[in-house]
Amino acid sequence: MTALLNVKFILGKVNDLVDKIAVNLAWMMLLAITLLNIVQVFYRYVLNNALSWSEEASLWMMVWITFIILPLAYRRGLNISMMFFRDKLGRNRIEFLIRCLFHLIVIVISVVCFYQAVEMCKSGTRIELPALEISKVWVYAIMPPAWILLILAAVEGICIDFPGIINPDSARNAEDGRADELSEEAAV
Amino acid sequence: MMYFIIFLVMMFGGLAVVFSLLFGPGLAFVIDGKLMFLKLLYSRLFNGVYSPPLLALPFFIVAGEIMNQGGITKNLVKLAQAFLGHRRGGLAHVNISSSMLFAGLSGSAVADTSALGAMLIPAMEKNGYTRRFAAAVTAASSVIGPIIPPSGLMILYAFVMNVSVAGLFAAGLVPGITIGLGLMAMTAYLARVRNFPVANEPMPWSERFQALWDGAIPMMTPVIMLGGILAGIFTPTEAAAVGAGYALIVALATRQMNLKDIPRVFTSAAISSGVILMLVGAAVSFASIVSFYHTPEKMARMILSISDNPYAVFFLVNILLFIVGMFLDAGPAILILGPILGPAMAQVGIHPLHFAVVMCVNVTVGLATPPMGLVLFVAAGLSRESLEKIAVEMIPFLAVEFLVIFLISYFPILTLSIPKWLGYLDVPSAASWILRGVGG
Repeated sequence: MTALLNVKFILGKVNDLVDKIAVNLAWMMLLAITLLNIVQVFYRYVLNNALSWSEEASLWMMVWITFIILPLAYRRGLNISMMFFRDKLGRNRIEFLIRCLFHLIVIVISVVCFYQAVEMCKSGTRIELPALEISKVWVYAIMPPAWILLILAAVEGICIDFPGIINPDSARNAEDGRADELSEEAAV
Repeated sequence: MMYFIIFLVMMFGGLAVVFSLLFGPGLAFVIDGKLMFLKLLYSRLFNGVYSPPLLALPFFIVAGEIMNQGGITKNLVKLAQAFLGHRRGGLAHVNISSSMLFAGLSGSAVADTSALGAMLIPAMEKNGYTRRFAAAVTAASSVIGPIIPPSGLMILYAFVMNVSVAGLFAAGLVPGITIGLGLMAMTAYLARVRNFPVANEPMPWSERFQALWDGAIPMMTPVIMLGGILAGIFTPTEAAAVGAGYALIVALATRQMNLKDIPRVFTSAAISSGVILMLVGAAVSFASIVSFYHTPEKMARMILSISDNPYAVFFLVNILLFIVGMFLDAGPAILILGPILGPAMAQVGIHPLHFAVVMCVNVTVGLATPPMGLVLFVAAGLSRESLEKIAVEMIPFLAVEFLVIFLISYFPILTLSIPKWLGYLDVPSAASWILRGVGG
């Protein structure tokens, strides 16, 4: 159990750092594509000279935003889920077991997707974005690290939820404590 | 159909929808020994995200986030209060009409509930309404958000089903306004029966004009977006970007926001965009498997075996959508069921645009129904009132919304007239009953 707690602590620190970087990258990219598209409208309708590369650049950043947010959204539980039936279970041993099972499924999905993303990156070296004149691998490049980070987030999830299978009461208390801390942080 | 069963088990078990959509087909391929199709699944996931039409979505979210700032919401409420506050049940009318105005800005039911509910539920309680009624009016009216354009939900549908965004926006206008007016009529009736208070004395016209002026500046955002798209000046992406830019300038110029708020607003928009876009990618991937296994054709055959009467079919599908909407959020419902039901309904002879609007309205109303109504949860959280009590108060309002769903299902003229007038209607020959309906 001590080893599990150590892994959880280390992964928590790593994932916190990754979250901070991800959030900053994502908002800056979104601001950039918003401004870029406004400029594009100005060029197209006022200067009558559309920017040929703006759509490619915007799509590139949109893909990056999506994959940057992927592990962060998982960690914060922001993905849409149907919790109606699970909530009926209450936070007992079975619930913690299901959580661990789902973290494992996410790890399996991430491993398969990581492999496919790497394959895509390899093929991307042969494709060029026509307007930007760069290799498409730059668009794909965010995907393999995103899946790796999702694996880390899911492993952290297992470290958090696994003790609940053995001792649901203490896991529940720990979870409530974390929720209180988060709401206090949000209030600040 | 094994992929679909695995998907359903995972989703109902509580695995995030995005992962259920990937896991169902993925596991089915592994079991069938079709491992090479995993590559197809992943490439469709990527292509789902890397899609030019979807670029509009983050901009709509940005515009909504900016418009969700406190001051802009206040201006809208002030505008509604200036014209409706003096009526019996005035604040309830203000709540509904503010939702209609807000719908043009945010296009999101949850944003509508949280922005207007935070302000109007306490105000209504202070004015003599019960807390549960205030929460019920807020929740019921906020479903107008994704129906009156611009609407993020409609962009999603248009993308997965290859329907015109502009046509869908045009088709959503009448249902959205009809729901709003219907809710106001119900409120007027309840106000008379329950003797609801008036909010304020009739305002002098100088104050009304001032409120109109203050509200007009933010209200230009949907005018720019919708006007630009429907007039064919902008593409939806350009319109959304210009709308977001305009909203940002207005918010900064009117000091509703300062430069320090930009990271917060864009962070929130980036997170929402990332979550939705990944869901869209997974849904596109899932949709390709749906057509790979000929699920829409099987579904159409199943529906036609029950009845080939479009009216009966629409009734059954509406019941199905309503049940789905009770449990599933509107976005995933559209992304999962759109590719299955859309082609099946077209085979029955229902126009794609007509079905698109009915589906969007139906699953959106589901946001306000128990047991899994997201909007209901937000309203309950804001009012600190139990879900059950709010749900009971909502019954008259839900009745109005069901009536509108019935009307738009069986009178296609209500949804298709404006798109037809604007030239977005390409009526397929099979849809003869619709031709009768719109006189085409």
